[in-house]
Amino acid sequence: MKKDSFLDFRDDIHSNKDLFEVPDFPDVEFELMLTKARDASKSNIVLWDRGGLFIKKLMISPRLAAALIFTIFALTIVSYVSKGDYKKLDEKNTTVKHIDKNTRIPMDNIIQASTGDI
Amino acid sequence: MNINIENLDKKKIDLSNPDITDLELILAHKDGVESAIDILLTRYKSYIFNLSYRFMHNHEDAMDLMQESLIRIYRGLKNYEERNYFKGWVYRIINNTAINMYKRASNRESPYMEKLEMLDDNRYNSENGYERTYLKEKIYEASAKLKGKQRDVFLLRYYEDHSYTEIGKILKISSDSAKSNYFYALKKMQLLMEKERGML
Repeated sequence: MKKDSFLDFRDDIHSNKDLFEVPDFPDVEFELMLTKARDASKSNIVLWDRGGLFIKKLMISPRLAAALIFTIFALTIVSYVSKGDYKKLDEKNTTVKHIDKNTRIPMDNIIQASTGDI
Repeated sequence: MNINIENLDKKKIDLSNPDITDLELILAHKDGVESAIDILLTRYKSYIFNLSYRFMHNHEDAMDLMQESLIRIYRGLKNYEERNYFKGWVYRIINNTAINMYKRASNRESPYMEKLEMLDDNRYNSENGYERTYLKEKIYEASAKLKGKQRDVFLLRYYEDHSYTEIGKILKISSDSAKSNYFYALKKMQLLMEKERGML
């Protein structure tokens, strides 16, 4: 590529800069944009982009809220059941007696229980 | 901007003073004077709009980009570091916001190319109007193919008429680097445009 052709190209490009003039932006519109931007920047929902979207959805969708509450409830039940506490019905006063799983049970009691003596 | 930040008395900043610096306005805003940022951004109204327009090339998308960028500027000011060059900081915000908007619009065939807006004035009705419209499209298409620093430098130099020193400050590069990037950007555009015309 000859140097002259580049200089011609550069001059040609530069002499047509006016083609890319940008129209003026009205002050009133800009002030409106500033107000919107200020309000939006203060809003927690907008601030927290993705989380905000979620909150927004939650707010407008009772189904999603119900599903969330149900999930929390189900998880609570599962976590309670899977705690691993052993329960034994006290035959005398028919109350539920909790025995800690770390409590040591004498071997004799275990043998008696397995043979049906208890 | 050679201001000793330690010596600035934030409480005594006079917002009505036309000589008030960008940094003083930012500090005033950080200090709770909300209107300070409005004064600062109004100073850069044309810069923000022009950049948005350069990135999107049509009024409607430029408005969207501008609005989103302004929100980011408001939010980002809390963490603005005083050593930053405000114009450069704003440029990066608009640039990143534009990239996000392109990504979001990626399901559109070509968000960058489809809406090149022509200025509605008499230039296009003259005898060589068609030629100029064609030239504008070609310059635009070629510049849209530039990438990275070359694209940034071309945008700031060609469209915005910034000096190489100013471009260097905005993009955090040396003025020599800005100059060489502009040179290579033009070279690349020349190649692209000549290829298009079938000269090579």
